[in-house]
This record gives sequence, C-alpha cells and structure tokens, in this order.
Amino acid sequence: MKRMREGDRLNLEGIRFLLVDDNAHALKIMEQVVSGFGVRNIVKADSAGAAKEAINRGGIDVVLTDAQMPGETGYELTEWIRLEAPESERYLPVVIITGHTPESDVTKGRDLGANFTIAKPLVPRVLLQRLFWLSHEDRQFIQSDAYTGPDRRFKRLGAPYGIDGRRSGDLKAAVREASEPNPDQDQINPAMKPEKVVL
Amino acid sequence: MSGVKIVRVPNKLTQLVKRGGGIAVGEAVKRADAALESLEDASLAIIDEELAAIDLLYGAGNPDRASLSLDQLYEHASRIIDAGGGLPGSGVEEAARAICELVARSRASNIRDCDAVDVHVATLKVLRAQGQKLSAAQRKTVLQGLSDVTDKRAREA
Repeated sequence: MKRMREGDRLNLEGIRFLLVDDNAHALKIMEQVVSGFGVRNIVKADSAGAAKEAINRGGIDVVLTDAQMPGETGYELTEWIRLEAPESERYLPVVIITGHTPESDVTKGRDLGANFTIAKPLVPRVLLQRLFWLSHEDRQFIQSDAYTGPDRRFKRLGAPYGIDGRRSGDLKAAVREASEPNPDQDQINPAMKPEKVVL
Repeated sequence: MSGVKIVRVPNKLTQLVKRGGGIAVGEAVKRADAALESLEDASLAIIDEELAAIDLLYGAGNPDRASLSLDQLYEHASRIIDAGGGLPGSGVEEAARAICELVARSRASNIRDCDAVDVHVATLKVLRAQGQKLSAAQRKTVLQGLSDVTDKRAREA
C-alpha cells in the first residue's frame, strides 16, 4: 500500500463523513480529529439506526463507526451497508473503530466487508493513514453468497506456480537458472536446527 | 445470488481527494492532535468517573462483588478506552484494554477470578496516578504483568 509522507497533500474538505458512536465523548473525539484534517462536512449518528437513516438519505462518502454499540453494532451496520443499503451506497468505505480488539473481531469486521479496523484510542496519524490508503485504493468489490465487500486479498502474491495470472499486476513466475550452486546439507542443517540459547 | 460477481467501483474518495489544494499530512496531523488536546480535561474527568464506578462495584468495599457479573466491568473499561487521550503516555488505556481482555477470557472459560480482577483494577489506579511519571520500560513491565496474569489464568482454566 502507498506510504503516506509528511508532505503529501490531502483535500478532505468536500468529503462527507458519517461518524457513528453511541458514546457522546467518543463521537466528539472523532469529530475533532476529522475536523483537524480539514473535513467540513460531518454527519453524526449515535446509533446504527440513525446511521442507516443518514445513509438512506444519500451523500455520505466515508463511514467511521464504533464497533460495540448497544442494540445494533458497528459490525451489523457494516453488513447492512454491504447487503441492504440502497445500491448506490453499498460500496461506501467503512472503517470500524474498536476499543477492545481481539483478532477475531478484526477478522469479523473484514469478513462483513469493512475496509479497515482500527483500535481506540483514536490516534490522528493512524486514522489519516487509513484514509490515505482508502483514497489510493483500487480494490475490487466482491459480491457472492458468502461475502460482499472489498476484495480481501491485500497481498498480491501472484498466481500459483504453473498457472498464468489473470490480473495485469500478477507477478510473473519465471525462474531463471540458479546463479550459485545449491548449498549442501552440512550448510543447511545449522540454519534449520533449533539450538538452545544461553543468555 | 449464484456465483461471484466482481465489481470495479470507481473510488469516489480518490476523485474528491485529487481535486488539489487541501493540507499537507504533517499539518493535518498537527491540527488534529491540537484539536484533541482541547478534550483532555473532559477525557480525564471521564476516566476518573469510570474508575470510581469500577471501585464501587468491584472494589474490596463491596461485599457482593464476587457475585456481580463482569459485564459492567467490561463496559466501564471500554469507556476508559473511549475517553482516550486523557492521560497520554500513562498506560491507562492499555490497562483498560487488559481488563476487557480479562473479562472476555473469563466469559469464554466461564471462570471468575476476583484476584485477577483486583490486580487489574489496582494497576489501572496506579497508572492513573503515576503512569505518566514512569519510564516507558517500567510501564511496559507493569502492563506485561497484567498480560501474564490473564495468560496464566487462561492456562489454568
């Protein structure tokens, strides 16, 4: 993913953010952070239900949502956006923000179609980095019975050996002749064998 | 729906961001950090409120604490994380996150351990009072201790 540099410029002025959190203080923190980024167009929602109403009205460009909310969670909101929101809104970038983040929650967010999950407390540089990535992202959207959301394959490792890749960016699997002789077993053994370390 | 449909979606964000103008990343981060500073006092007040609530419910002063569900502990700790930034560099948020992890694992194993809760809450209070005065290495050691307690309890479960 493209690395964000200090001198890179971002114009977020015309982008409408939907911020969702049931906790008023956390919502204020989100608002302060994105305002600092130059965002002028902010819609706030204190529940998934209020967020849905805002999305149904249209005009939202990015959704930042808390994960754990009473009633419907941020995960359920993400699922609704991908599967049930008006067709034009289903591809909205969604960033889930969560306090306690077991790995299973990160996987859950990804599998429900969130673009990113980030941990609280909200660190401005981390959020801006994700927005920067979102603005440079060219991930395709996948729609299937099992999953709807951005392509989860971040790492383009190329097609399996012996198969021609179908993507223009797929790496070529051509392997040249070895330039050095293969190491013999006596050289390989010390590299592979676990040894006790004395501290 | 049958099969897989791959949709190339025009990235509206890219189009909007590319319009030129705007502010440099370094400046945007600086402004956001400054904006957050204005909330520090409010964040600190929330941390103290939540700590007091935790103490009232789960502290040694409550004779019924052993029979209380840990759900409220999770919620109070979550609100401390939500308040983020009130005590930068104190380790308070990490300790609150450790409490959430402890509760999550207690739910999974169905085992309630008052001693582990006490250790976590006491650490949270210490970090609230002294966390910013500790060196990064000292804070790391304190927080690692919480992680070790939770791991040990999980192994014993």
